[in-house]
Amino acid sequence: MDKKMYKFALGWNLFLLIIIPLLVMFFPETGNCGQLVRVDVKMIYASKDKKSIDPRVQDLVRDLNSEFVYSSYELVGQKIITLNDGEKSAFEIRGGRKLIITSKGVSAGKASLEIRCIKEDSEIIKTNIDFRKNGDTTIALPAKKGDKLFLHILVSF
Amino acid sequence: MLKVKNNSEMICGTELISRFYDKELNTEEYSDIKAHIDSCKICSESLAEYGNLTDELKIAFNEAAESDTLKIENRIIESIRKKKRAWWIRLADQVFTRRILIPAVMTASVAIFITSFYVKNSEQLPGAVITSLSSSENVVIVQIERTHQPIIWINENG
Repeated sequence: MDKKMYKFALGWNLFLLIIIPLLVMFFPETGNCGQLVRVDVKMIYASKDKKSIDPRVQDLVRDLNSEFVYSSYELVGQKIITLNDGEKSAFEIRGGRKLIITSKGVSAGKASLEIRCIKEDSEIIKTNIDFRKNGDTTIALPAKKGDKLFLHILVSF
Repeated sequence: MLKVKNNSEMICGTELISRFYDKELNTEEYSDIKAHIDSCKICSESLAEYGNLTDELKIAFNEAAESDTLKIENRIIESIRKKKRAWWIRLADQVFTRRILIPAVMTASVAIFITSFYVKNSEQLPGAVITSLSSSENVVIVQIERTHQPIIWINENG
């Protein structure tokens, strides 16, 4: 390598060494305004009376069973909605309750949702959750006789 | 040309015997001296002495030469041995020069930094993060160990 090429290579490497980390640090993933968010809500009824696991939710049950002890898990409903920035969707769930999901937009690789559960005009819970791509969460609502209604929420965008 | 025929005084005890031994005489002189040596006891003894002396000198020179040669050989071998280094040392000398090492280290450090930055971001953070929560019921937040999934557990009051 002659002197000229060597200096060029050295300069180029210095440039990479300094500029790229600066770009990475100060310009994180940009926001995606107006991006559609897909929300998949599975309603899973858990009880200790019976002994059966719905094969449609077997993967989810494996995780739930690591924390909770129920002998029966059944998929009792599923709702898939697509929300734009600021858009909301409401639907009925078991036990006379209503679930309202509002998209707060996608920013820095995360979709922000506001999730509210209402029963007879009284708010049971209101929460804001930031989801990464294919991130999920579960809300465990009380049901009759110590049973539980798990709302598994999976978000993709 | 030297006339040596039948002149013992000119031959005996002179350098002619030495020159005869060293074959430094022409043909005619050589044959004259040879004839004289064959008939002269003194000269034949001198010739024999020259032969012995020459042989001894040869031996001595050879020994000295061998010794010197051996010393030289040893010195050469030693210097080669010192210069001959392990293959990995020679390779390192080739590779780890400023022209190659500095750019390589810089490039590697940039690659490592970027890779670790993105690997860290993708692997360690949970899929969902609860940023705010309010409830009229008792709420417990649990996290699944395997997937880091948060679970909001609501207990009905009363």
